[in-house]
Amino acid sequence: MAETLAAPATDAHHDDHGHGHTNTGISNEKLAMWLFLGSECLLFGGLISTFLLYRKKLNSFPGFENAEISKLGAQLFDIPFTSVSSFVLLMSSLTMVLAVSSLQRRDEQRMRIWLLATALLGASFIAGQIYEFTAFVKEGLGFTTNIFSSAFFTLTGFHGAHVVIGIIILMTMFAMSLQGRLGPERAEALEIAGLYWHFVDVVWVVVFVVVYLIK
Amino acid sequence: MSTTTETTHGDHGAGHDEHPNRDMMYVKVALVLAAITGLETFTYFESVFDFGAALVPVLLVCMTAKFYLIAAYFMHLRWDKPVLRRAFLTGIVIALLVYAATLAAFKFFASGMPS
Repeated sequence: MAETLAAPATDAHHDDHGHGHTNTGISNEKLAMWLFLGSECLLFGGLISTFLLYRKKLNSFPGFENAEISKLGAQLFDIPFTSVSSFVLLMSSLTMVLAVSSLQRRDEQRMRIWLLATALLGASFIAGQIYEFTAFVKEGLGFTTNIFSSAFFTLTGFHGAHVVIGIIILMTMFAMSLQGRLGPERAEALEIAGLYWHFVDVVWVVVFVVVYLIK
Repeated sequence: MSTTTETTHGDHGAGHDEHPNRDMMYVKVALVLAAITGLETFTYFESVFDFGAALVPVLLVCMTAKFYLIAAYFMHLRWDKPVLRRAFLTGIVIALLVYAATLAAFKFFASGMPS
């Protein structure tokens, strides 16, 4: 590999932040995160495929015995509401990348503001998801109502769990920053957390189209 | 930032230029993402404009464009080492192949329904 050959001179050294150099020129932590995200594609691919297979299995849902999926989308999903949720999550990706950018430019105060904004936007998305789930259950569509609902709740629930984990990571980094443990020298740690957050956003981009918009 | 990052971000200069201020570019990308999301939502209102058979292709193009913009700009794949792009793409390609085969096995592409 070209990059393997290009960076042998620093292999035996460590940088001034304790990270060992690798022959790819990329820290092990960052490479590990990307490999993890690659494997996450398989997890969400499986959940999305399962939903696609069973999205028309509405048999036991009252009033939808012979329903078409377009009717379900029109009557059950609140598309304008979900669109706002999607917009909120997209904007959280913007605030996340601005947080990383601020720390890289040694502006820790602004980084904290963007980090907090990201966590709040993520929490707003989760609040919207809880509202949506509650509305579905009140309509009679629970986790075990039919195969469609099981596939739907599993897919969106797994995604929601990822967002919650992301919020916990962000708040941990916010606390570390307040304690002076997340300075510019550790900007890569924040960048790696950002990669996870952006991936969660990217997954929702797919889920929003496949689950909510394609009839 | 570390030497590791210096070698990672190939277009970085010295000192503070090591991390060029791309904030305005990020905002522009976010505006494009918001506009695409608006278009996606617009497709739902068939009474205003019916995309007909073009609906699914339009949505898939919008989805792919958003996916690319986030991965390339927000996740920095545009500037990072190619090996990271390959690692991520490998996961995506494997997932697409495995689940396309699974869906085909269930005759999804023939009828849209499992057998």
